[in-house]
Amino acid sequence: MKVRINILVISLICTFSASSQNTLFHSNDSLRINLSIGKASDNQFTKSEGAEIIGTFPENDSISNSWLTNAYLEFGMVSDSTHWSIGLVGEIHRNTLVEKKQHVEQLGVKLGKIIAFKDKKTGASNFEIPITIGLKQSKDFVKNTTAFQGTLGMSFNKFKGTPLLKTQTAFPKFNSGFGRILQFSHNHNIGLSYLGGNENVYLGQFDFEINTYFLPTLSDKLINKKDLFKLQFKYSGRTELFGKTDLDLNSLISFQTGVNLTFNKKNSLELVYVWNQGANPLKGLENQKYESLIVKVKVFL
Amino acid sequence: MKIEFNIDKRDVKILIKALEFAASKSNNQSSVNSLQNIIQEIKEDLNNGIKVSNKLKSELKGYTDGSLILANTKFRTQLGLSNAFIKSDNGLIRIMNYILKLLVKMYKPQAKPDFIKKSEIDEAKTFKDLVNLIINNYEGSN
Repeated sequence: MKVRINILVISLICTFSASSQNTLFHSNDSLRINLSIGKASDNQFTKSEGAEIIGTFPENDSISNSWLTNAYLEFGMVSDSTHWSIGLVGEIHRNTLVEKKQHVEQLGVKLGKIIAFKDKKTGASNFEIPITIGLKQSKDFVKNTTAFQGTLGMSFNKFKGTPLLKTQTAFPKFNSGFGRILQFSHNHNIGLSYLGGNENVYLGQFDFEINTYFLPTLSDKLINKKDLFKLQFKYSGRTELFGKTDLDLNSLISFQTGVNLTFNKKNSLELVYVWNQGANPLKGLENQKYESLIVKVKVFL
Repeated sequence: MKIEFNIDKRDVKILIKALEFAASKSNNQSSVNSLQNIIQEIKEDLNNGIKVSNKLKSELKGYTDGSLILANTKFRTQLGLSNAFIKSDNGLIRIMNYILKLLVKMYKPQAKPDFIKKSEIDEAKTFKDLVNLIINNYEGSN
């Protein structure tokens, strides 16, 4: 019998912000209302990634629907003057397309604070530490458990000095020597997490990513960005600090490569191949290996 | 009346020379005065542009990878600026508003700076766009 399967693949980052007043900047009481969608709300590192929503709906009663969803929705307030933010967050991580199924839904509160080391003259930061604190109730529909989760994530963003040591900075120099062919950039997150319920364990966490941009000068010419052809390596490691858990703590490693087409200054379409291996106990992902081919659409409202 | 048009530095110098020539040939004193006012305005705009450009280059120095900054340099991809610095509320926008504030303080001490917003920087592509953004917001400061 012929089975027709419709696959919908959507990934998006969507941000909307509205100000409580006309002057957004340099006002002591400037508050912004912020609505954001992304992959996971744990830290600045995962927040900047696009949400993934894949639904597969077979037109056949014998095959059930399947999902790959990694998305959060946060509604909150940001104070530009104090660098504090607070928000309510809902999150879904569901993957029925893999051997060990994953389905976690989370609801909680997010607090954010940016510690800025500023230049006295200009007021601009030389160095920043964005901190994200999350307090969530997490329901695992596969294991049928509910547990409290606490996460603390931080990055060390150096804005000045040697490009190699600066986060989210392409090096070597654009349009000179090796920089014409390849450029690299990196980003990281260091954090702690607490898993409640039956686990009662504190975990140390380290996330790291390296991006490789192929032919950045050509990419810049064509789409005004350097990531037309990009390869990304991501490492996410966890270890028990206090307490013991039976959950898989294997490091999550992923390689991602793809083509990024930018239609205007903000909106883009990406075709990405991802290879994943490892586990994520915070998202109910058990240790396994899987691959995916994703279309990412980035829409800014 | 406010007339706006885009013109590069070299052509501005030619325009000033042409207006000075026209003023020197005119016998009508009110026309001479008008032309001299126009020349003065253009010179001020030119000087402000050069001042802002130089100041912005100097303030960005430590944040870039030392690449040469030209008017058409794309600041997101060609200067080695951290993407986090460009997006931060305390990054590029602070430096631009600092220069704007200096300019307003110096030439329009009574005016309130029309501060640059992040959304305006999102639209900018080249170094020249950033300079124009500071100048436009300076002109809009009252």
